[in-house]
Amino acid sequence: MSAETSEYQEHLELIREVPYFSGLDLEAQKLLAYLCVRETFAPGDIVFTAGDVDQSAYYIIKGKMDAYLDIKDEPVQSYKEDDFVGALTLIGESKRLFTLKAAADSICIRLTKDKFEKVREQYPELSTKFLQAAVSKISRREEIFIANYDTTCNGCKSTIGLTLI
Amino acid sequence: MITKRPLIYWVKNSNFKLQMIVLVVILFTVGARLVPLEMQKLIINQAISMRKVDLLIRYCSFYIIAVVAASLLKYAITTLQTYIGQESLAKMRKELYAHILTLPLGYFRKANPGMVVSSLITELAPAGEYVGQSIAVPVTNVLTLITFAGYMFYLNPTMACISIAMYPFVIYLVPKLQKKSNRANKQRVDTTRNLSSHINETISGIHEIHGNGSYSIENRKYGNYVDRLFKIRIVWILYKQGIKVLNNFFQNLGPFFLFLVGGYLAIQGKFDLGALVAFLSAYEKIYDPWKELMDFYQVHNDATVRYERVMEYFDVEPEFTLEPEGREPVKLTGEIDIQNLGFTVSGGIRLLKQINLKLKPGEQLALVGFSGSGKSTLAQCVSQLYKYTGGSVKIDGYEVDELTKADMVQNMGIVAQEPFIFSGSIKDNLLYSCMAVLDRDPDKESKMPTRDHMIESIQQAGIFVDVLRFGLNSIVDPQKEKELTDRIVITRENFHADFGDKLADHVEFYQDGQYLDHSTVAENIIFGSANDKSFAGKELATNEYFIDFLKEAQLETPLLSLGRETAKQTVDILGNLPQEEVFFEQSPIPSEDFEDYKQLVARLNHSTLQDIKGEDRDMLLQLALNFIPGTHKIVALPSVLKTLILDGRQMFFNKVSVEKPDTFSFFRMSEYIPSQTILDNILFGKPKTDHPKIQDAINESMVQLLIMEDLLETIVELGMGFKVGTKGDKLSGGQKQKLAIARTFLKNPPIMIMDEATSALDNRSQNRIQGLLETKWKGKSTLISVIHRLDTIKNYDKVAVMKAGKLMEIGPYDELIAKEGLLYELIHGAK
Repeated sequence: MSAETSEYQEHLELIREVPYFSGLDLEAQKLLAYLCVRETFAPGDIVFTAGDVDQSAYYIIKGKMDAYLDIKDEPVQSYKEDDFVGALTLIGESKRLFTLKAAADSICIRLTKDKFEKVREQYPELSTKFLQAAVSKISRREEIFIANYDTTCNGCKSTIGLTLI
Repeated sequence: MITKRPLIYWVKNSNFKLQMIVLVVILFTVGARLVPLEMQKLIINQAISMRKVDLLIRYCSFYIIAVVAASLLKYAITTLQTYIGQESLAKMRKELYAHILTLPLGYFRKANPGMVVSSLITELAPAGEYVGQSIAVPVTNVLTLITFAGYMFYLNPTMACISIAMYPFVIYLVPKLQKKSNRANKQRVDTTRNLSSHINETISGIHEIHGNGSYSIENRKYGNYVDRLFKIRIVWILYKQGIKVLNNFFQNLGPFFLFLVGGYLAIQGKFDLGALVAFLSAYEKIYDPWKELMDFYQVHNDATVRYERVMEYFDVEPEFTLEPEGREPVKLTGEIDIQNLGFTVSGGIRLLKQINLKLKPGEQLALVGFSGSGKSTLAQCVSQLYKYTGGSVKIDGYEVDELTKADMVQNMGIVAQEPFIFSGSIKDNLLYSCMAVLDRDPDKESKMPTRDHMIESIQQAGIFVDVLRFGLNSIVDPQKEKELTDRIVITRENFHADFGDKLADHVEFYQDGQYLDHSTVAENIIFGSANDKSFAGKELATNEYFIDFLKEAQLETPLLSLGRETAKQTVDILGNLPQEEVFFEQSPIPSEDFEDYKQLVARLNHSTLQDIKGEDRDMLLQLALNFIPGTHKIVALPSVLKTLILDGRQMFFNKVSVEKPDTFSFFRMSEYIPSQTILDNILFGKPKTDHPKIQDAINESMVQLLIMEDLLETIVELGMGFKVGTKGDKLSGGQKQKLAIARTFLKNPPIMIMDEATSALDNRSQNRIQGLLETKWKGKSTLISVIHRLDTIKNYDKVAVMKAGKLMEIGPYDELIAKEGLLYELIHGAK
């Protein structure tokens, strides 16, 4: 009757592009897209605070978000449209190490750990695919870090070797 | 112990009175069965041969009375034996279940829940059936056999011998055939299993088959299995039928001899005709009890085998007695003394080694350590969940090993790592621990916690707001609760005056002329709720008046189309998933109707909207009318349709105001809306998001307003009636944990064991509960708290650090930190 696309269909297209989920069966991707919830943030709204155990991942559809450290007022990292933030908290129980704030009117889709786990129960291959993607992302990060490694930088010494954990 | 009882125990201990009645009834039955035979003889010999009609009528009357009586008595026996059997079965089930519940925790780690279920439900059933039959069937049939045989001997001993001569052959041959049939049956089971695993493999590898085009190979493999099964099944069926045929053959051979010998004797005049007829009847009647005995033999075998298997499976001794004998459960103060405690599990693995530890009543201990260090195990040994294998744990001088369960639960509250919440209401779960203790107490009513106590404990555990929320989400009937709903309307006014502007971004208020994205399509059209049942709920989609209106407003076809699209998409996503709460939260199709819609979608396939008729059409319309664009994101609601619906709302109002003025109450600020939750009534709208921050803001405003109206306790009480679903499905992990903490706080025992009890809570709740433990319970309850995150342990009286099953250091926090030992390492990382 009409060509208007639903949020679910939009989510599905986005989910299919996210490396953590791109290798999955369409059925699993559909379920993830269905379970995601859309949220909006005004500039200055806090998405999560350091120390929280909010266990959610966010895909930014529109807008901009900044990550802060408690000790510094300047943002240490920025995220923009089509970025997928915070996915590691979907596994394990780690606390947030950064505070994430919206820097502009932002729309994102949120996937919570509860739902992620329910999908994992139905499609166990999600675990493997997710871990593979996470490991290759971390590896890639360290590769870049090594390529730009500055032997004079003191603080860098304690952080190098992340992929050897 | 129940598992040591043989099956015959249940026969001996079945309802004795009923068994005796059965025996008496059986005697009458057997007698009643004999009468027709004798009558047959008399009818032929006396009535017919002497041509006496009055005798004929008299004997026939006796005959029919005996037949009717025999049937009625047979029915009575069946009823009695069913009752006896089912009564024993119920007893078996209850006693076995009670036994299973007391088995050690370690047992359940290995046991398969499916096996427990099938044992209690299906496997025991034949045993019950057997107990029911155990007296009635053999006695009835043996007696009948003997009586008939005796009657035959009384008629003519020679002929009786001839006709019984067949039976030894049958008794010899049938078991032989049965054995062969069993063997074939076993082969059949094996082959069927192979076949199904093969099918399984083929289906999972279907992409490979398509890729290689290897259809003929797979067909051949499958064909081989099917052919083998074909042969085995034929053999099996032949044996099975062979037994029947053999039985029948011998049965039919009887009359042959009877006619030959009996006929000869009759011609000779040594045997009268009536006796011959009676003989034939008796012979035929022998077959039934014979068959029933053979069936009974099978039931006996089957029941014994299954019963023994079940009992073997559960043949484990419970570790603790439940109730103390000859004394009341002890009252403890909570002094704990652990000496040389050791716990070794099968395989010689030592989980705890030589633990020494003392706690005064009211002292609080934090158990920390690396994962796998045995800290939970230690807590579980103290709380009698595991039976330690060495050393001693004494509470107030009593050895925990020797205390009964009743002693322990009187004095101890446990919050498990993954607390279990049972189906029922919040209140049921909150009172669970108290109920268990008070269960046998004669004045438990008066000892139960009051409403205020319950509210206090849910506040302490931090689940108050959640419970309030459940209360706000309940629907009340204004006719029954007039006072409450009136005050809710007042609260609504206050809300709009105090919070209306502040929450305007997050709440969609009921405003005329605007499409409500967070309400259903039906609510958008009616913009009110129905007072008449025939327009409410599921009735609306089939209400003729309403359908006519939809047609008039040009809404029917677009709504059907929306319904079809929604049904198709939802079934596509959720089609093969289990019916769990999470999956259906955002689903336009409620889980209970899902199967129906799944079938509907399969039927729809390619049919056009115009083709869809009858119930299918109602279902689609129903789905469309319940569609909420703000929640159901699977399908987009076209903006054209929104405009049409808004026009429809106006039309509907005009039409109904004239034609059915009292049928609907439209959304008005001054009126309670019966079909909506308390929250929606106060908001006079719907929240747009369930984001926690917004929910918090709304909750905060509600608490303030409800306190002002003195409604807070009333609403919380409604919330305590919230049904949590099976396994507490409808609660989040944090809510479950808080509820478990609340139920222990409510019980307020002298000893509390908390095993990572706050692990699923956010920092704030964790700190609050910690604070409470320090202020409210320190000095009153001895606390052993297993802690994973170390930021809350500073104020414990003692901290114990465990590693590899050993207690490495124990003492106040500051001392251990100053020592820079293991605790220091745990917190600051290895140096």
